[in-house]
Amino acid sequence: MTVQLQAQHLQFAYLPERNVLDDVSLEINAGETLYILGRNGSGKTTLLSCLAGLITPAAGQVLLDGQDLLSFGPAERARKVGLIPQMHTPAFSYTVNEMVMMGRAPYLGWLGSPSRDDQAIVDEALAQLGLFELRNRPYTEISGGEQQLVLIARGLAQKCQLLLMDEPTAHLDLSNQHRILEIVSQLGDRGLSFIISSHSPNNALAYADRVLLLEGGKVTAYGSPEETLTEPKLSAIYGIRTEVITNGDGKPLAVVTQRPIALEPKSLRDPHSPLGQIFARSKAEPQLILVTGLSGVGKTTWCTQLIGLARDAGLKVNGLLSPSIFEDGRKVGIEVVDLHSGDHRQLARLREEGSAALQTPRWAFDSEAMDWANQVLTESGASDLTVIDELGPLEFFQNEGLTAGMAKLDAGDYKVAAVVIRSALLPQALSRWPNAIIVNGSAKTLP
Amino acid sequence: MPSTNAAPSRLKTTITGIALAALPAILFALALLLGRYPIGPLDVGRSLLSPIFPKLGADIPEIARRLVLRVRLPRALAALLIGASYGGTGAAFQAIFKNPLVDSNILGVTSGAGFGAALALLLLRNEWQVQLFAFAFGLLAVGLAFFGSRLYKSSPLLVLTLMGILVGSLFGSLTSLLKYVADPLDTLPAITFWLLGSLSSITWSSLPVLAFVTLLGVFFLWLIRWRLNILSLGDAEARALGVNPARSKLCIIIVATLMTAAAVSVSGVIGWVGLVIPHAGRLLVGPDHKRLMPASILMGASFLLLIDNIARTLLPGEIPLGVLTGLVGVPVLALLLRRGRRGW
Amino acid sequence: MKKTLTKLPFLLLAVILALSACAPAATPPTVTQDAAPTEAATDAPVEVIDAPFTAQVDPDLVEAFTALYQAFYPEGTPAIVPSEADLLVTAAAESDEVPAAIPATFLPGAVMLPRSDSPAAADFAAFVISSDGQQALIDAGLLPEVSTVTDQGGNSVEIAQPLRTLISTYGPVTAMIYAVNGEETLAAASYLGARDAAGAAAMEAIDPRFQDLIGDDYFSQTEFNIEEAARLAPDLIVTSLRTEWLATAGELGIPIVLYDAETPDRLKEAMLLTGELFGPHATAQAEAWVAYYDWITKSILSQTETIAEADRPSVLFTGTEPLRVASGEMYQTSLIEIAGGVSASGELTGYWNDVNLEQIAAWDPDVIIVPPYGGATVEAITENPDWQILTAVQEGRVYRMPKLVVPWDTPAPDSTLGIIWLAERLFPELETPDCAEQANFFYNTFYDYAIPSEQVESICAIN
Repeated sequence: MTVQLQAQHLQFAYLPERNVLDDVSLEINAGETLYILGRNGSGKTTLLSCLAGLITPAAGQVLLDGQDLLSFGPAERARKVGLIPQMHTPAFSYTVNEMVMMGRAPYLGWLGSPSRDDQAIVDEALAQLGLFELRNRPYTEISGGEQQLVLIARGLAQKCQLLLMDEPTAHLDLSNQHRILEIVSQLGDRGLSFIISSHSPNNALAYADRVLLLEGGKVTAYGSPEETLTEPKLSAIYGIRTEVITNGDGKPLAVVTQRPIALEPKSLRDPHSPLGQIFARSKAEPQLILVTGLSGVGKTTWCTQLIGLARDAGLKVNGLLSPSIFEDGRKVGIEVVDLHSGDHRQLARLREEGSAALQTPRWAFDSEAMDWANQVLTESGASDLTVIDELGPLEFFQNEGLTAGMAKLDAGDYKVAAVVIRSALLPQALSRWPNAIIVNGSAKTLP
Repeated sequence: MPSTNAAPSRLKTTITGIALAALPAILFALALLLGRYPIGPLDVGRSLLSPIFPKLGADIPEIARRLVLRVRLPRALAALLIGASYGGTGAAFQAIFKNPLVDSNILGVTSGAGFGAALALLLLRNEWQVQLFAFAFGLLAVGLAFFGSRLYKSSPLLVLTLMGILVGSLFGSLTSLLKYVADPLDTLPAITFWLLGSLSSITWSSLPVLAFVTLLGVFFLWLIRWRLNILSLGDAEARALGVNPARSKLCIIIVATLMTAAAVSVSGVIGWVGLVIPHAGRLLVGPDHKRLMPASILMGASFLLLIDNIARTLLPGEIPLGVLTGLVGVPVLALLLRRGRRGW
Repeated sequence: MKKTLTKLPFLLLAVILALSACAPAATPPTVTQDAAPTEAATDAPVEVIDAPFTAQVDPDLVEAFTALYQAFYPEGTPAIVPSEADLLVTAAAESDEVPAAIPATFLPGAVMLPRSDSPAAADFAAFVISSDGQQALIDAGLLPEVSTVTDQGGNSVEIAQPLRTLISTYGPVTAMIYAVNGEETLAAASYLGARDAAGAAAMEAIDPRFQDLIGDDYFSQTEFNIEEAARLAPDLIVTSLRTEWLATAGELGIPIVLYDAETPDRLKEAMLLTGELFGPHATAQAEAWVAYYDWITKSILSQTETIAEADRPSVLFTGTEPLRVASGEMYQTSLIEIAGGVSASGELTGYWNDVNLEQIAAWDPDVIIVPPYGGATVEAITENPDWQILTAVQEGRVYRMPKLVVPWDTPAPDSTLGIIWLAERLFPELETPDCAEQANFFYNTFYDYAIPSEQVESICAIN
């Protein structure tokens, strides 16, 4: 098989210093289908535009049949690579036939109009996709699936060898998705290659020859679906726990997302419970529990309960807990408690000018107390349970605050760590610690 | 679904095509035959042939011969050209702006031309200078809008539209300023007369530039007609189809602006035609510019001929064209919308 | 020769006016310094032995004469003599035939006629028709304190007398004010036809205050600067009925008189109204103008009434553009009809109408008149090859209406000359009044302007 399109170290930025694509390389052989997966804003559409030659990368190059894409003229390029953009409604209600005819543009001169031969090619493309009967219907009045087929037919009329499709199955129901992807697959069998951006790992599992995972413009994985669509890699790019369901032979069949698991601290007493299992596994390798949930659901309470039960069970506990300080029924400060020694200091107080009526008051942190807390974490010895309450935007984005806690987790220097983290930061946390267990931190009162 | 699924049969398409092509010819003939000065059809015919066969014109009253050759003929030709120009540029602008609610005035050409004419009327008062100023300021306005929009990087089409509106308002205000300082007995009536738009002062001397620019422009629009389909899909899709949208659009804007400025500079401001004719065209032949462009050109020419025939014959006083384009155009369009299909 | 009979009364009138108005100012003999008489009288109460002039006074006018005399010479006693006086104070002569001479008319129907070249008598005659003279008569209870007029909008307006300060925002009315001798009261005015260099120069020659008075930036039919108006504190504002700012100006509480003179009858009415605003002398002046208008009409009619309707020349009056023509409802049409022509575009209604050349060809006028404003030129028509099909162009009968300041085709006093000029163009073979002669008379009589003879000739010459 020959390499049809090759991208080498592509870099692109709309604004200076804000790379949308960063060192992206990929290649596709004739007849292959490449899926590009990634979250919204990860750079999928930009990558497709680069590959189609619509935008010029700041660095790196795209080779088409071994030749620099930029050396082709627009029409010449369009005869080789087609791009089907995300679906939108055109301003004028062209008929299906007229829409498909537009695929002949690269073959017609600047001032040319389609001829009988062009119509024959269009008729063939329409017939191939079963659209011939719809040819005089306005494009704006047919279903979404049919519209997508029309755009594919346009790609066929364009007679190119590689079609780039930007989220072709978005907004389509299950049956239409299936219909489109089967047609794409059959066209692939006839030697047409596809690069498809998608939000569906399952479609990629079913139809892709290769998969490229994109996050923040960087390639995090590239290879066969089996290699790339693994639990940690998917968890990392989507920021949620995923589970890959396999058949008996270990061949992946589907990717499903997992909800945060509900662990009751009191189940610690039962060694066969999931929580008991976690502590059992911690003897072999460190276990990270991310305690999450909306603000105020009781994440600190959940930790307090776990600490109490762990101590009752004779386990050694260290780390930090930060309970709120209340005054006249409103939260006015945050305290930090060393779980090993029981020492505590005031870590933060309400800013004077801040309005207490705000849902999330701004806190003024005491840098000495923060230094002390980091020292506690650094100097804490071995333990069975390390609790850190909590790691927030300060730690993840600004590299400030409880930096010692981040270092400890990165180093795997714990047996079981229970770390309080707000839901919004889960993607960051999971891409940093892909094996973390996500726990719903809604506390219930102990019996 | 009888209306939407019915393929436009070859016969129907042919009939529509013949009708659209015949209409301007019929109305052109009517323009030569009709007028406030009674001239018999035979005399009109012989007058027309008299430059080639002087014998034919021998027994026609000189006044009739001159009216046909020097008044009716240039005026009918001007109506034909200006109508075709408005129809064609309207369709082209609606395509490249992906917006069925614009015409070639969206970038301020008319406002600029109006200002140029008012300025020339205020300072110079010479017919060809007024035309020259109108033409030059029409181009200047579009140039300002176009290069002004280059200052912003994002969403070029939207910025261009916005700049067009800004430049149009600017020149509109400047024209108001000129009207304000103009002598109410002296210059102001001339400015108002010009701004209202009229074909009554058309002579052969107005025609050469108009004909040259319009014929070349119409030919260009006719050649590029199918490409307008692709441009109307948007820049990204056009580029994916191997078309350089920026270059194509620039060419179309330049050509359409030249055409509009040439039309405005001889006739004053005639609104409405460029906006509405492409709609009527779409209802008749569909949105495919391969058919729509010729249809818009022919319908624009027919429409302005019809309007002008009414304007100059119905009453002793000329009826302002702007009044008639609305009065005649709206019912016609409403009728077409009623029987037409949905969508643009 | 042919017009000697008709022009005689006007020459006489002109001479009288020149004597009464243009006589050089002189100090009364009792005064020893070059100062105003009233001042002199208080400064130096010299026992007057000889009165400065003698007067012959009708018995019923003695009271008024004495009141005026004592206002002018506070310490003096009038020398009333039975005959051979310097000044004759008497009832105005009544005549339908000729326009009345316009001597100093100090009370309705009562005039003062200098009978010698006594400068004091002339000064006194000028004083009696001034605002101060009027004030003296009002104080004596001989003239009303408030004059009530009905304006052309149908409103009854009360105007305190004498009128001392006035704003005119409508050019034709400004011309009427000049024609009734009221221009000294103007504080600001909008002028017609004074924007071009020639018009401005002529207007400045007529009134040296012109450049100070011209208020087009503040006051016009569309514009009314209320702050500037308040600053000028006028007793009265005069304007057109078709004015946009009446409600705003009403806020000042200054009386407003509205004009709507688009026909000959309305124009005469407007002139008489203007006279009424100022008092007896202005009224006499206005009546003289009306008589003049009627005389012109009659003179031309006497020559043209025998011409059959079909033989009357068809006249097209074009506007600022060659293809813009006057409607039948406009004053220009009346002008054409009085002059003995028929308006080609008389079937049109409204104001100016835009037409096409073919319509003009269908009318095929015998004569085309272009206006002296809006940049309209005869050449725009005669040098346009397409217009050669018209009889008027072929026969060279395209003329530009003249003007000195006010265009002669507008409904203003000067239009009397427009009629004369047009009749001359339409019927060169008939003995209608002579343009140059009448222009000379008109500007002398109604504008107090001794128009240079070469100017008259160039205006009346066939262009």
